[in-house]
Amino acid sequence: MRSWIMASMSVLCLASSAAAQKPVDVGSAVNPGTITHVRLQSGSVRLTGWAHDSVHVSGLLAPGETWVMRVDGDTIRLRAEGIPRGLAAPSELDIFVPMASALVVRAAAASLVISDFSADVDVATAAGNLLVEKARASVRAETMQGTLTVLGPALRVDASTASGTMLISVPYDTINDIAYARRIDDAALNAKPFGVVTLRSVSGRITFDANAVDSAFIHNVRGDVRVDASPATSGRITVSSHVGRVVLGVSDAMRARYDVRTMRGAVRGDVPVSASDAGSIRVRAVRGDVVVERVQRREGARR
Amino acid sequence: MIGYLARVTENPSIDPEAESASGRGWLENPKYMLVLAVVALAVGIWLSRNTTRAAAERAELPPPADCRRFPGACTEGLNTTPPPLLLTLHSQVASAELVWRDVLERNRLTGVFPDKGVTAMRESLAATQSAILDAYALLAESRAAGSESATVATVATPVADAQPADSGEALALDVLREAYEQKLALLTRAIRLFEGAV
Repeated sequence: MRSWIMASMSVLCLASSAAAQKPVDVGSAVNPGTITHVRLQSGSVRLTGWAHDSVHVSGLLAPGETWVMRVDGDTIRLRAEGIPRGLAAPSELDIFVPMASALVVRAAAASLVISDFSADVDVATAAGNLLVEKARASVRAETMQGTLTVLGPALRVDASTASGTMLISVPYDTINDIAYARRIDDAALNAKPFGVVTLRSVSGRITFDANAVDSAFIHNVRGDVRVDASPATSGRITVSSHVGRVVLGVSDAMRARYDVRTMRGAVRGDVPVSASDAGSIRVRAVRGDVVVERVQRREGARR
Repeated sequence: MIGYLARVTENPSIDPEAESASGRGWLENPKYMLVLAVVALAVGIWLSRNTTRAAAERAELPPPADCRRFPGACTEGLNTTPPPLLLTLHSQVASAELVWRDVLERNRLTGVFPDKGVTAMRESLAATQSAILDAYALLAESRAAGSESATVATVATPVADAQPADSGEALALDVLREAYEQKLALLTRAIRLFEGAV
């Protein structure tokens, strides 16, 4: 009997909570090349690029929020206005925007999944998780506290967290990689740096994985850093950390000039003999250790 | 209350008045439970608001140094006069700190700033400041070591065309520059992010 009453009360609580969310289902046509600007408060939001010249938003809005959508010159602004009330259920939104349009997202405490964009993506949330996948142009992603993940062949990545963990995996020269194929075919693109990566954190763990990269700058203050990446022939990977541990994954196929130093820590493992005609890996640690680990890498890991 | 409801439902002979009067079942009295629930809710809301305010206030305080991870940050009498090469960077960091405090002050009561983000920012500021102080301590050590300071760095570069090892002072200056740059980058990002979130 008691359990029956408790179950009934739980169902009532959940029902009242769900009922408090407001459904939203709106859309609008946009001109090709229109910049999409999204501003959110909290909740879980999925932003997906699609091949249509239109924007569509569906899902549930938190109580206290209203949805605003307006075209402002060459920008369409999507905004959840108002502050969600107390313990109300958060917003859950599915947003589709043109994949070839630049995307700018600013959020206070929303967790975001962003996928399938061929134009630049600039996304920032103060306290939420971020996942950016299948982005083929430049990605700028920031979160203070949440976990940040970027997966896919983004041309450039500028990512940062304060205390959140960061995982950046950019398979730049995998087979069928559109960005890589375009770079190889296009003489103009071929001359530009490919895979420029800047990663910063204060206390979050950074993991960076790339087959080949022209330029990578990775800096941490207190968190650990793991790098499983090879520099392109004229490329350069720079890693610095104050008190965190730096782990370098080194495979037999990798060729690089190594410059590994720590002021108050130790270097563990064997730093490979450098190749003078290869790109460089430079590590600077202050109080942390640097560990060199042998890893297996896929075929064709180097360009 | 649930226990009370269950007992009354299962045994209608229970007299609520008698239960209350006897003092045995006051905790199961719906009136008391309702009052208790309201009081608990009020206290919860009050604590939550205070936590938000406290987080904002803490974020304004000078961050404490992390002496365990950054031992140099707690060196007594540490000379923190910026080297001439880093004067501009030092000023930029100081300006960004003022802007950050202003952003926090203007928006602290709007309820937009998530506590977790403010707390992460505060801890990160403490860490970057500790790194700067630690770098100053390393710089002082390397200067004191003088010509022997080249031995400060552990060098592991089995490379034919390796550059000569940097002097300890040059390395310490490099560390100090990076520590300043990291703090400046953090403040710049936070200002952009928190202004954009409002």
